[in-house]
Amino acid sequence: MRKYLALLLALTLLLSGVSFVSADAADPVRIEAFMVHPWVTSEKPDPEIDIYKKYFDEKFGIDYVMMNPADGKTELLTRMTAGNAPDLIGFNSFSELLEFYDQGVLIEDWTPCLDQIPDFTECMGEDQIHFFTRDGKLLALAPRPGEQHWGWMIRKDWLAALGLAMPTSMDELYDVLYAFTHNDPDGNGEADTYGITSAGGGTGIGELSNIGYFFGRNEWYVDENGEANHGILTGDYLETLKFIKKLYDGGCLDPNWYTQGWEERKSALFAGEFGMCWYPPLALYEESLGARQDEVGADWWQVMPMFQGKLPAETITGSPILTVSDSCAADPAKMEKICAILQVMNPLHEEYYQICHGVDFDGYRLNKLDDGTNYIWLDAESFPYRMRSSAEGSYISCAVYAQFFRATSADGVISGSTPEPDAYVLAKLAELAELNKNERHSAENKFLTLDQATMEEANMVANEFTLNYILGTDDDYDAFVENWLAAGGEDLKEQATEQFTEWGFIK
Amino acid sequence: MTTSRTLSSRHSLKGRLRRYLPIYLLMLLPFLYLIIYRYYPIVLQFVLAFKRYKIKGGIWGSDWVGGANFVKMFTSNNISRLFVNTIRISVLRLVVGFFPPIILSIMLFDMTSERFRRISQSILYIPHFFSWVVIYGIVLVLFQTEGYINNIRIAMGMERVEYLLLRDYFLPILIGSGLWKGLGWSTIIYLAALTSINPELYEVAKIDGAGPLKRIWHVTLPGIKSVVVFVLVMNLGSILSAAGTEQILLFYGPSNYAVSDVIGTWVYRQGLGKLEYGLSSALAMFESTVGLMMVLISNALARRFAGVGIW
Amino acid sequence: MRAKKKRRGVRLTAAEKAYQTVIYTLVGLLLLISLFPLVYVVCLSFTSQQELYARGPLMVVPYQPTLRAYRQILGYSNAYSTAFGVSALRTGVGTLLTTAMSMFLGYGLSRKDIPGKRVLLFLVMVTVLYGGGLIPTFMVVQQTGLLDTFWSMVIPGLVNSWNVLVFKQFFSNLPEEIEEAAYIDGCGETRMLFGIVMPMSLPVLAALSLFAAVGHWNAWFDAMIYIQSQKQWIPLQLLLHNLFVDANLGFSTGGIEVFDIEAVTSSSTSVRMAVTVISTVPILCVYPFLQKYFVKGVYVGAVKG
Repeated sequence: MRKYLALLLALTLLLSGVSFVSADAADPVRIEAFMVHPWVTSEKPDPEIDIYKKYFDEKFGIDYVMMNPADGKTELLTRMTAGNAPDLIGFNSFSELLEFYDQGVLIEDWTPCLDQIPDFTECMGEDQIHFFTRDGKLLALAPRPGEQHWGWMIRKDWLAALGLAMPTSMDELYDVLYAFTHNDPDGNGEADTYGITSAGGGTGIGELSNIGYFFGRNEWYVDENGEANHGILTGDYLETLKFIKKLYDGGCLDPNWYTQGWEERKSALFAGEFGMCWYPPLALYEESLGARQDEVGADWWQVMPMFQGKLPAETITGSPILTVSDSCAADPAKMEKICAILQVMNPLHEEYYQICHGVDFDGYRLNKLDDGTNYIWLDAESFPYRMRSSAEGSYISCAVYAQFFRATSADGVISGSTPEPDAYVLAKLAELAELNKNERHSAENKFLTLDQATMEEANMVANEFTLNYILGTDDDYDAFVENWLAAGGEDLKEQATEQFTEWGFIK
Repeated sequence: MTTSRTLSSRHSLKGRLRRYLPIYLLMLLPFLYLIIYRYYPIVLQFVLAFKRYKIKGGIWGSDWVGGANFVKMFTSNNISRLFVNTIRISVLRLVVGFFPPIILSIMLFDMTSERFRRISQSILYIPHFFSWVVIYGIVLVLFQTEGYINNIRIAMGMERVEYLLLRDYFLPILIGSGLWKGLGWSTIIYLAALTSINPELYEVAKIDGAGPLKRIWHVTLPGIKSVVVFVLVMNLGSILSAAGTEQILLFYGPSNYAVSDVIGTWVYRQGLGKLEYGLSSALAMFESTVGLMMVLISNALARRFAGVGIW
Repeated sequence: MRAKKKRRGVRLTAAEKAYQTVIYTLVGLLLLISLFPLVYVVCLSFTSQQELYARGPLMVVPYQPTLRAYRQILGYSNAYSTAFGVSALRTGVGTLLTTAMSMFLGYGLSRKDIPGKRVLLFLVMVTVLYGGGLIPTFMVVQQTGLLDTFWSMVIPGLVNSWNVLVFKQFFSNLPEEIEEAAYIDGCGETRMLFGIVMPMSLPVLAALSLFAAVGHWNAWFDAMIYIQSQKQWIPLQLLLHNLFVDANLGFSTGGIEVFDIEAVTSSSTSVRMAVTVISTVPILCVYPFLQKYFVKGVYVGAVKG
């Protein structure tokens, strides 16, 4: 009896030893990627059909988990506090990252890892690396700087229907928006059209604030005297408010303008409720077609040139801004894998186009044109609306994984639905080029990292005055400026001056 | 009256412990709950109020900053604004909500139709049972830009008013909806008091030729005086916490923070959201301490003037 | 409530008549103000966009009611039925536990000769007067592993000290003779509580349970701070709150949903009101049966206390 027991015991030990060893060898490193503000919030696809996860897992020998939270910041906070931090984290802004950095829960310095990711840092660019460096430590990484180019888009079919020309002055712009609202441009006999809206979701005036670019700069910049200045202080903001108030009084804003959220207004936009919007041209076409599932919205829009003022400067940081948690940083196995991923997730490698644009997955194909541009196209037969969406699971999952590494608009990718760029795509690209013909402001404001709390306080004052001014219940601009300065404007000016001097914009 | 606990085991300590053992067992869980979820947070509050919390160190590892949180609390403009708003809203609620229930309960009491009174009560109690979320929903459909009230205004040729966005309307809507919700329910305690007034006093007053108003003045009001004072004083006791954070969280927005941001909402937004644990704990300490003092004072006052108190 | 006797044979003076008129008018007005919003909300939830256009925005009662809003809710996702279930579960479990716990503690405190009574009573009193605050409580919930779970909605508020004191007071005021008789019969404490005291305390039990239940059904804030990633535990009121506050909810054009032009241009108000109605229906259904209990309960709690 005892012999059998001993045998059993030995067997058990042996087996457990075996499984222990094999587990060690076979257990892939688990990498959890957490996007604080995902731009795709749909549900993750089933692991069964998640071809992108399989790709990561097989290629790098890991167990790659993407987190797509609805309320990312809160969740991240909770997880950090509970000691359950994710590994790779993507932030929307450097200030947000700094908030967490101050709590001591992020990697302290990326510099030791830089020699493992030379291609990634090459795409990142010197300026950006410099921007993310504090006290000699590199705090964050990001893809190549770039963003979609936003501008004013106007309904050209409505202009045609009403016999109006593209506006060339603020007065003409007002007349056009007024006509859009009151003269039934879509000819359906209903008063259901409006010039413009704001979609601020109740927290601000949303896209209407971009009207400020006609009148100057409603941000911190260096003026002709070499000092830090702001649109609120120069009075440009008052001009902006006056115009918006004019729109409001003329009924050109829809009744829900202030409380409407971004998604809600997007639906209304594609359904044809508004005549003007601040949108990236290509995204507008693509999203409209994809949402409507028909071609009706394809030829509605046209870029409106900035007849006065300038467009905002281009960003100097990529998005998202990446880092890892300190618990991940302390795990050499994880860091090795993450560096391996980063090294290939940039426009210099084909893996980038596979993950970030779905090439070789679900019918996307990469065609390198003669001039070196990467042209990615989609089989039009399977996806008739020239849209890289609506395929069950594939685009969604691509976007979910792509949002971490994709250098939007900065990777020189153009897309279409024919093997060679067709006239339609070229026309849209020409429009984008038109947009970019407009002058842009200088980029010094992009180099600022202002204190979040102070900014919020100052913004609170600004938002309240803005709303009251537009609604007509408060017009004391000077009192507002004083309040704004007291609530934080003064502090912000000091910070801005300090930082501008550091960066060399102020001598 | 003699107690018939003659068996000695009933009196001895051991005996009592044994007898009450099952009760102790039953009380164990609630007792544990109190320790963990009521007392331990108080400990944390005391500790955190003097620290600058960082996730890295956690509660116990973060640095001590002495009274820095309290100093900030009293000198920061933004925080002082919280105190002003909190007290303002509490006081307004108290003032606005004080007389209507009394008047209403007197009216209900003096109503001749029993049936009408019963129906009224049934209807008037209903809003109390709705959640604040539902109340907000009601306010929304009535007061929003395309709400019913604005539609009436348009029909009458007037302009729309952005009731829910403008700072000036926040307090009236907040307190008005609070009154709408609580008015009926608040009459219960007064009605109870009213029923205890000796009806003969009314008969006598009527015989003396007193009209309804005179009766109210000379019989009704004196009869419920102690209850009125009790309610008043009890409300005073909760002045710092009666701002109604739950309701305000639903009703406020960035466009009216200047008047609507109270201690409770700030702690939720900045404290929880931005990890300002230290400052929030200091605020909680202040709030609880003042609240305690107010309750003690008002209880003493209630005893003095109304003859009743919590204990 | 004492019924006022009809004044037979006494002529109502003009003042009396006027007084009654004023009363009826004012109360009547108040009833209208109380009822109209409720009626309007319900009507809105059944109103279709077409009828709104046709009859103008001042309409209240729809002549062609539609179930569109309700269908949209139930068809959009399981979120609403799940939330309803969560609220119901929470109300059931939470009420039971809270009432039981408070009753146990209150009973123990009401025993005149129980050892340690003074200390225990003091402990309970302190919790009535002094609170830890939002953040400390949140941290304790986090540390006890309740965060993001169903129990975070039940346990943090498990014992309401006020209720404990009400129970204590009520039990103390029960006639001693019955208890004495039971003691003589050799009744143990457990049987005393469950067999004798509890049956005598039904009004208080009913009232306090009712208040606890209403509190649970209407609760949303605790869920808001404790439920973070486990969205399936969102109770109905919190869902309703999200519907009001999140201007983007329900409008995702993220590709999966079918683009419904009519849904887009029709107002979201009827959907919001439909959810509002759904979240108040249980209370309104139960309300008529409970009226007598809560009025009595308030008497017991406030006046006798």
